[in-house]
Amino acid sequence: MKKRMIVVAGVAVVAIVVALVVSVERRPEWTTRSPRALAELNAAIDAQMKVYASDAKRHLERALQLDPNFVMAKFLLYEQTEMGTTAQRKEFKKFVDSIDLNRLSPRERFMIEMSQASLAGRPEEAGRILDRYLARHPDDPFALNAKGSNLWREGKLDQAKNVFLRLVKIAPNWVVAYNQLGYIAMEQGRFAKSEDYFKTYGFIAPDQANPHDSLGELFILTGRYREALREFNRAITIKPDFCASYMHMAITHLLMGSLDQARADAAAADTQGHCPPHELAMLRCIVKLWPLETAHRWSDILRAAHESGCDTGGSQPSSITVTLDRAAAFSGDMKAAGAFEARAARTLEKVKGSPEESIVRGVLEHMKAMRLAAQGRYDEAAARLRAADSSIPYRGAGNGLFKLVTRLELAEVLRAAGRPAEAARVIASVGKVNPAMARAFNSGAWRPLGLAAHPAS
Amino acid sequence: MHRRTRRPLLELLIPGVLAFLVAGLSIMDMFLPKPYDGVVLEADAPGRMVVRQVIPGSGAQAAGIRPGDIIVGIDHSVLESTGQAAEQLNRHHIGDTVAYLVRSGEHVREVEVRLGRRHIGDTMYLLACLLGFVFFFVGWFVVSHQPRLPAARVFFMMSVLFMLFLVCRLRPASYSWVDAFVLTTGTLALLFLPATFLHFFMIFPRPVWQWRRDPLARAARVLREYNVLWPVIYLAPVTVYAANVAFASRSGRSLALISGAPAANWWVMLVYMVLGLGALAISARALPDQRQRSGAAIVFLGAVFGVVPFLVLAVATPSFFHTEKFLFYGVLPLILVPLTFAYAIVRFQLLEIRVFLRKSLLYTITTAVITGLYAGGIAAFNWLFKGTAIAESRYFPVVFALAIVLLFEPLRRRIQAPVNRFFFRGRTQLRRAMDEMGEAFAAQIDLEPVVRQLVERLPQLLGLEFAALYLVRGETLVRVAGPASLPEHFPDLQILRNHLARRGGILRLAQLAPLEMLSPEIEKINRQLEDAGVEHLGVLASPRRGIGVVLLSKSSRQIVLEPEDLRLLRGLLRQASIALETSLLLEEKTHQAQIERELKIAAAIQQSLLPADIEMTEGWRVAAVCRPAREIGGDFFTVLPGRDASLRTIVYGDVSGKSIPGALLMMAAHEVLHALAMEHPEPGELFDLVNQRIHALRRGSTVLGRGSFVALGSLACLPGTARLQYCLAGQPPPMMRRASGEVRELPMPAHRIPVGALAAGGYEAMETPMDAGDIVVAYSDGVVEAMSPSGEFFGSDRLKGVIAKAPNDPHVIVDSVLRALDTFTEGRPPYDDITLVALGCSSSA
Repeated sequence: MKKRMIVVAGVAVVAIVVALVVSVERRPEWTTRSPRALAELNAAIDAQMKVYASDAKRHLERALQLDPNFVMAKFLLYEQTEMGTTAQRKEFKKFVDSIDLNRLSPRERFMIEMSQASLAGRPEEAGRILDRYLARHPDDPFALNAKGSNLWREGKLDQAKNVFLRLVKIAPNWVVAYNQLGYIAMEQGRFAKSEDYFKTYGFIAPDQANPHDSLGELFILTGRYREALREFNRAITIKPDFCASYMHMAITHLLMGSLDQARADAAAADTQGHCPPHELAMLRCIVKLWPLETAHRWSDILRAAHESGCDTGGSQPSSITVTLDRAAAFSGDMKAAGAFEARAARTLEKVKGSPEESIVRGVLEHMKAMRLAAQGRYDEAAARLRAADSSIPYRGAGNGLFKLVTRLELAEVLRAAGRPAEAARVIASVGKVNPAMARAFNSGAWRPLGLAAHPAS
Repeated sequence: MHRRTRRPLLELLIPGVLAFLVAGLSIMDMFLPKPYDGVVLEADAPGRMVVRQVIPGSGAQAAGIRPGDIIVGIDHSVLESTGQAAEQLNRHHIGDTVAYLVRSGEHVREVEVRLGRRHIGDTMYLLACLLGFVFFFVGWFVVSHQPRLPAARVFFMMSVLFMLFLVCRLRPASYSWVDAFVLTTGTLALLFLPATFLHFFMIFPRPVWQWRRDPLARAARVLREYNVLWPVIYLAPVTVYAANVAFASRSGRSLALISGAPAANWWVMLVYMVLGLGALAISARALPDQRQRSGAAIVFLGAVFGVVPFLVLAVATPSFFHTEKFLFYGVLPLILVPLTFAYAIVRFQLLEIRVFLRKSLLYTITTAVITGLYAGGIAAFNWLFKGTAIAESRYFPVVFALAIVLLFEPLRRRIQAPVNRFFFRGRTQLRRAMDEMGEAFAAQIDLEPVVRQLVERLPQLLGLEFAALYLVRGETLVRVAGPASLPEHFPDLQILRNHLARRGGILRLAQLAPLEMLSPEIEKINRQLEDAGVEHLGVLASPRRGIGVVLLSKSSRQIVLEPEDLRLLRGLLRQASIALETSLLLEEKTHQAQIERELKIAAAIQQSLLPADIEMTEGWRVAAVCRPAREIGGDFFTVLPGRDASLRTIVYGDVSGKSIPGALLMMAAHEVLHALAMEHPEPGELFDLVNQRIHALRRGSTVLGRGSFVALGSLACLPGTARLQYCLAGQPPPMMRRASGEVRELPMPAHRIPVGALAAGGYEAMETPMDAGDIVVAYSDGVVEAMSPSGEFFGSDRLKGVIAKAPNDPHVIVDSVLRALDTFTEGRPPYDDITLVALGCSSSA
């Protein structure tokens, strides 16, 4: 009996000690004395995760009213604000530098220190601060999110994916992570997985337009145009000024051959969508040039583009640039085509080491291929197109469609070169991703280059 | 119940009651009106909400959720745990529509599910619950009646674990913490269940190490001696489980479970079952006792045919094939386990099967009635208040359950009394039989029928191997009936008698242990009785006297007597005590009457030996009287022939001891005197010879003790002289009353030891002159030692006074002395025999 009592007492003592240790370890994550302010901050973070910026801002402002000394509320409020002007950035830096780090929790300290390093133009140091913190707090969702985003920006997709997967395991409702995971999966060609992530994203944030738009993009890429339209409509229903969905809807209609609908979408984007002017202009150009492009009226494309001011000549090559380069090459304007190539080459030099490098390299290879194909040097063009294909990722619907079009162009070039079997394999690879596009190609309804097949084919 | 049995029962009762409460909670929770989607989750997919079953007509079915789907999120939240799912659902009301994110195969999809009322227990599950409760009550019944029997305790634990497994592990699980708790409890039960099986099989019917000598049995014996056998057996499955979980957690691999346990645990269980069934099979083949072999064989068959279908159809099939279609066929054979175990116990005669089954049935009926009332109440309530706010109240089920809890005990009593009367006919018959036996005792006046009832009929009624009766004989308890293996007698110790009285008259032999420290004799008795197979002692006593002890063996059915049996038995022994006392008294009275009759005859014979008329030599007058203190006496007087025809010698004697031995010695002395007097008339010589004979007689006899002797005296008138010859051997000196009235004691011879006391003789006859009118009064010591009520002796002075005052006549003197004695003793019976002889000389010779 005595022995049993000792055992029971021992177990009780161990339980109490463990409870104490756990309670000591679980210090507050955010430094404030006001429980209500803390609740507002948590609501703001929740809203932020769902990309509800205005809600997040409102909660943060309320948190600051409740506790004016709530450092993190103020810090996140600054982060929510667009730092459009130098004065704003300076003010933010001044605030960040004035924070007494000693009274903050480890997470708060890490976030402020990282911000300080970034604002001081020391991104490497910011990265080191993040890594140090993550080593000590491997399950902190905020740090994991920051790390995943960094890796994604650096193009380290597998590492980014693993970090985000860890994040959603720890915080299953960290909604942005699903968006990132969806795009990473799309870029890696894992479209079914990407669809799951976007759907999960949409499930968690049902009042958000973005997950529907993301899912619509995936559907465009995979040739599920009607489903894409449904998702874009949902996005627009949720957020009527959601520009991206108007643009994506227009492209979907173009791919479906509904030019009038595309024009209507472009008009709606203009009137209802809260689109940046350069994106709106690009959409107009795409819609305008698309019928000429499908008809292989290369000279008309150049002319129309010139008349409409479609060639913006921006630093980054866009889909319009690619269209115009193709049109220049096949209309025999090698000088213009060479100019496009030179511009892309310059851009490539600028973006080396960034996630954009592969895309720009793909565009450059594509331009070279168009020139070679227009000159009838099909084998060389095919090699360039293969290089372009391997460089271009499925990053979003735009890049993904560009990749698929590049493959169809490769198929055309291979046919013209008298290599139909290779062409068929390439078309089949397109069909695996986007059966509609492959069907259109095989039926002859749409050929990107309009090349005649080699007589021997 | 004895304290030593209470603690083990309590130790078993606590986990048993807790298990019962968990099972009750599990069932109650299933029927609480909570918002529910209709999804039954896979129990073997911890951390994931895999749909095992969709309740027909539920919101989940309408939403197209199918078995095998995974519930990823509810109400726009991706779920971290089932608890979070329950939390999400509890935010809604019955009738709400909630968004679900469901993974079907490779894809996730969002569906809308309308929440309904929770109701997930089907008939199959209720059957499993019923079976579980039957297990529990059967186990409890066995252990409450056999708390000291290890196999019964293990059987109870096995029953509890079976109940938990059936009620908790087979429960259709949903999202709430109760589901998780109940499922975990069921898993724990599953982990421990094979250990209890192995434990039971190793000790039933007999511990395998007690009769086997193979290496495994020897290993078991060694482990048991170091007290590690059972800890190892019970902790091994848990350790394997913990190791699996830890390994899976560290390696990041998901843990594949079969009915809650990892595959490794199933291997452990398989090993346990093989070992246990192996031990049982060996018992069934090789146990020395045929009944035990049969018992083991039946348990073996029950275990194989009950457990194997259960494992295949109720455990493996739902886990591997995600279907519960065959659950019924898996659960149903499980009933073989309690039935065959119980039957085997009966074959092994552990319990009374009819009582066993009927009590189980009783509790099952009671539980079913109460459950039916509860379910009926809920249904009636829902029907009455359908659509109102009361029906939706979450407090209603709690209040209703409380009401049922409060009503349970009174209802149970109400139901139990008539059911008891109906079902426990055996007990009623036993009581009636005991009553009849008690009545028979009251009517009996003979000892033998009472004894026969106690040692023949009583063991039959109680199912004992034997009973024995010991009766008090002096300071010894003597066996009057019972097996010869029992001791013939043992001391009737007061400490034992008091202990029995304090314990209510009946106690277990083991309860004598505290007395062993006080009395080594108790220790000896205890050991003897224990070796002979005695289990209970019952005292037979009346308020007036201790009568004896009844010894009761172990039951031939290996059960201890129930408290009810003991109560009945106690009453019966009281009645038997009265009957026995009556019989004994009657017997003693008869015996006494017989003795008295015989004494009267003896007294008549003795009286006839005394001479009616004593003729002495002319000129001498004589008066003699002999008054025995009891029916027969040890005093006598007689007249012996002298050396010539005219000479007479009066001899008077006083034999030591009274009653029969005294009378016999008196007769012997009388005969010896007469036999020798013919040849040896001289008193000195005669006394010497008589001394030799009596002494020889005493030495050769086992009846006559060292104190057996005869005081003799003789008086003779010498013819032709006025002299008195007298000889004394242990008698007081005669008194001489002179004609003048003077009284003095005659001189004493040198040697006057009573005859027979010593081997040496040397008696000397003395003479004294007598004048006319002188009277010699000889007497036995009974005269002077007569006692007044105040304890005063009559004494020689008082005797002298009486003789002196009396008229000068031998008869008158004798009468005067007798009267004086009567006056002095106030008519009380004399302490000792009284003999007076008065011899008077009427004229000078």
